[in-house]
Amino acid sequence: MREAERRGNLYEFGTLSKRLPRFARNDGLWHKDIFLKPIIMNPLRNHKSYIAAIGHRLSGIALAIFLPFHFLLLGTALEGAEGLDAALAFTDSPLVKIAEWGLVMLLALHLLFGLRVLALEFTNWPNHAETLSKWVLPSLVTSVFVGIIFLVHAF
Amino acid sequence: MERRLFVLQRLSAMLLALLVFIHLGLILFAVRDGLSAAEILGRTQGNILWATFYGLFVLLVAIHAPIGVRKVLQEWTGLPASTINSVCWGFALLLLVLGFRAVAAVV
Repeated sequence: MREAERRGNLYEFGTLSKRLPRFARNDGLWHKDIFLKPIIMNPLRNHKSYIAAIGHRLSGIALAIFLPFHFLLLGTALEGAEGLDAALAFTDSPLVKIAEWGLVMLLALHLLFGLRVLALEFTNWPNHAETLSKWVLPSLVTSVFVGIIFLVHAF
Repeated sequence: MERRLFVLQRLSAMLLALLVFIHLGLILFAVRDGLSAAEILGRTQGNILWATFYGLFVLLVAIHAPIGVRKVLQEWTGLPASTINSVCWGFALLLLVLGFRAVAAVV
C-alpha cells in the first residue's frame, strides 16, 4: 500500500492533501478487483464517491477527444455561412444527434462532478466527504434531465 | 511544476464552471429551432461580448483539458513522463490554434 493511502489521504498533493475521517479510509479491500483503479482519489468505501471520480474522469476524456472536432466544425465558417451550413448538414444525421446528446450530458456531468471536486478541496466543513456523496445522484439525474431537454429540442 | 499545474487546473475549473453553465444554457436554447449558420453567425458576428466569451473559453479549455489528460495518462498508462508532457503540450497547442481559428471564424 502506498504511503499516502496508508495515511488515509484522499489526494496526494503535498500540503493541499485532505485527510479522511477514519470511517472513510481505505481498508485495502477495494482495489483488488476493480478494473479502473482510482488513483487520483484513493479507493474509498464510499461507493458514490468512486462513481463520481470515475464519471468525472471518463467524461473529461470524452470531452477532450470531442473538442478538436467541435473547433474544426466551427472553423468551417471561415468559408462563410455556406461552409458552416454544409458542416451543419452533417450534424442533422440522427447518429450525430445522439452523439451530441451524449456529449451534452457528459458536459453537464463533468461540470457537476467538477464542482464537487472543488467543494471537496476548497471547503472544510465537518464530514464534507460524506456530505458531498449526496451530490452524486442529483448530479447524475440533472445531467440526464439536461440530456432529455436537448433531445426534445433536437428532434 | 506539479503544484503549479494543480493550481492552474483548479483556477481554470472555477472560471470554466461559469462559462460551461452559460454554454449549456445556450445549447439548450439555440437547438430549439435547429442549428443554422445564419442563426449562429447572426448571434456571434461582430459581437465583442461573445468574442470575449469564446476567446476566454478557448484559452481556459486549452489550459484545463491538457492538464487533465496529462494526469490520466500519468496514472493509467505506463508512458514515459517526457512523452506524456510532449503529447499534452501538443494537445494544448492544437486546442489553442483550432479554438482561436473557430472563434475568428464565427465573430
